[in-house]
Amino acid sequence: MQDVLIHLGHGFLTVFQPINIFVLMIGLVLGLLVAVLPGLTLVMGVVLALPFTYKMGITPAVILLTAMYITGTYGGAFTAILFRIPGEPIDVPLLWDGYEMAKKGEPAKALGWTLFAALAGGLVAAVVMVAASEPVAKIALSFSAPEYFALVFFGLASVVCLGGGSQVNAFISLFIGLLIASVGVDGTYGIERFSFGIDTLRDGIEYLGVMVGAYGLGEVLSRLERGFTSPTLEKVGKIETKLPSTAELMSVKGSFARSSILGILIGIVPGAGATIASFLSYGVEAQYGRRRKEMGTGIAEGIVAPQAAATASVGGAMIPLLTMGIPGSGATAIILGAFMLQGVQPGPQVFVSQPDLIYAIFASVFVALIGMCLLGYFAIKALVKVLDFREAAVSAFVVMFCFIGALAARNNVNDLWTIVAFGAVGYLFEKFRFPIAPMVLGTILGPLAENYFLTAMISAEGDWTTFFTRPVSLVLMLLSAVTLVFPTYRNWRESRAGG
Amino acid sequence: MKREAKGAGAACLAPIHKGESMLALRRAAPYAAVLMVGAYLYWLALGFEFPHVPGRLGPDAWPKMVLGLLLVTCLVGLVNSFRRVDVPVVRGGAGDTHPVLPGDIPDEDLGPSRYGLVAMGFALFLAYPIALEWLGFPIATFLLMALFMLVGQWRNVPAVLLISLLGSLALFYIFRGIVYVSLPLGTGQFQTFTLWLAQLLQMR
Repeated sequence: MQDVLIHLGHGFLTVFQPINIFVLMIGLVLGLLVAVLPGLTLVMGVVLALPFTYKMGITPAVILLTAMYITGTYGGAFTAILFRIPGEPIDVPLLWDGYEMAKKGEPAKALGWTLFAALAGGLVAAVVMVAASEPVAKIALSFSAPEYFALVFFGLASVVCLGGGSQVNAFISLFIGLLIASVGVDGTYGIERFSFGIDTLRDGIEYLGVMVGAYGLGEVLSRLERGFTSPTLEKVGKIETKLPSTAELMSVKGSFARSSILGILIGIVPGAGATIASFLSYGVEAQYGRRRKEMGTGIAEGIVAPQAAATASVGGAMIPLLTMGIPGSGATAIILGAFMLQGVQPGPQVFVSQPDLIYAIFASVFVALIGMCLLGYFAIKALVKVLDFREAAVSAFVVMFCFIGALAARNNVNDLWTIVAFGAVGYLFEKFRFPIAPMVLGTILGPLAENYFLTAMISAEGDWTTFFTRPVSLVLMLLSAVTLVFPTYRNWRESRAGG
Repeated sequence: MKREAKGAGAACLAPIHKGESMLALRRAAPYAAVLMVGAYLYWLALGFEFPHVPGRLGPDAWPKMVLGLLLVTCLVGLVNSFRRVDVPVVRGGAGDTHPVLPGDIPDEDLGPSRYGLVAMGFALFLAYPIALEWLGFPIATFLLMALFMLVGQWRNVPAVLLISLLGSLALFYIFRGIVYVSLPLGTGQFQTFTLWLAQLLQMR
């Protein structure tokens, strides 16, 4: 424990170096702007910031993206509560109680609750992240192919089943992602798979291209279909935040504890991110909370639950990323991309070889949380003015950042065709209600899944029961089975109950 | 538009009626398209040539497994399309987010879908990589930004031109001058112009 604290102290010193604190502040402002603008999602914002990191060192690069990720879970609360404009899908549950509280004449109080929930949820998760990462990394060192395959399988199962909506569409999206990952020259046998003689495909399809295209260009095309119908910004006389009193805080301690724990756990599950944490936490509060019958009428619990869970999910999502190299959410997938572009593969070995880097990232989470709240408290009035920008102009810049991001990764103009193609795929997915997240996660985790699967099968001489005879992989496979079967069972029960 | 949980009776399995067949066909179209492409890729995977090692899975095993699962799932989707299955959505699932649009504006209030705009926007995306190599980054970017804003229904031409000009210059300066990304220079006279501009902006 003492070692951890010493490393963390060094981490804080690293974060407070001029370049690192500068990029952290930039990340906080950009994250808030992205979260406030309805046309930009958190993941898209982090994607768009990626090209700026190419020439940075690994530490400021990851600090920038992590700061954006953290504030991205908080900034949209302002527009959701004050203007009924959810800047992010994460903020939708805040419409149900946050906006209702504002309508009752207490917008400052509602903003105070979100600030408290984001700060407290985020700090609890950050403490858990620091405390749990090294032990998890040590355990991960003992994992071999069956355990890693089971872990990846669990992540893929989770992204399909926790996402809600049509499971069939989610599965199709996932399988398409896994197929995309298999395109190109096979690493073991050296044969070409689905490359059709095209050089760009022979090298494989980079998941960053898939992400930038589907999330960036696809989303822009979807909004263009409506002629960029921007929401109008109502006039709000004063934008201020009023923090809750100690007595009020104590009255929601149960909701806070539930949501923070849920947020951390959902963050840890590969594939599930802040949006799922926010919705599930609201759902849990509506089912089990002390004031569950009042949910949706503008009560504090309805604000604390989604906001604390959303911000807590960041700390949770960083654990599998840093300890096993497996992204826990869309944003961490991009942070993984930033690591790999710098030639660093996150995983248990990094804790041994580059502890300074890991603990600087940990320390930056704490600093970013505090900076985020200060910025939210003092500067939000200026930041929400970005809603006055014309959506056509904002989208034109989004498109440009997508193209530059794809171009800068390998300095290859052919990569632009990849993002254009996946822009069309993203638009069609949106149109036909196929979720994009499983495809993206499939593209990221596909090579890992195939590699671990084949390695495990070779080690076990073709005996597939190897995944069920080792304790850790058995537990993970059982969890995956429950994750896959439960929604089907729930739907079946509901349809029976409805006659 | 919030998609409310339809409660217990959400999953509705009913035979299809006259007049709904077109709707069912529309629902089935994406599954049929993916099914056909998947079947073709499976056929391609059957033809992968590699040295077989007894007792060891080849490079075709994983894609075949994924494609097999994809085909089965598409068939389920196809069958569901014709059985009019309404997928229940429980509040608290992330799927709830999908129909929620900025400002919680119902779909119908946003006006009709404008596929012409999408086609024009996509045509601009397709043209950009070609223009980039021919015209170079600053000119291609200026044109893309200006045309995209006009396609996006912003009719204030002076503002569009000014933002496009400043935007393309700023992006050129930041990414070539500060981040050192190797941006395309263009060909012939356009290359000369790009290099002149870089010199003017005091870039290396």
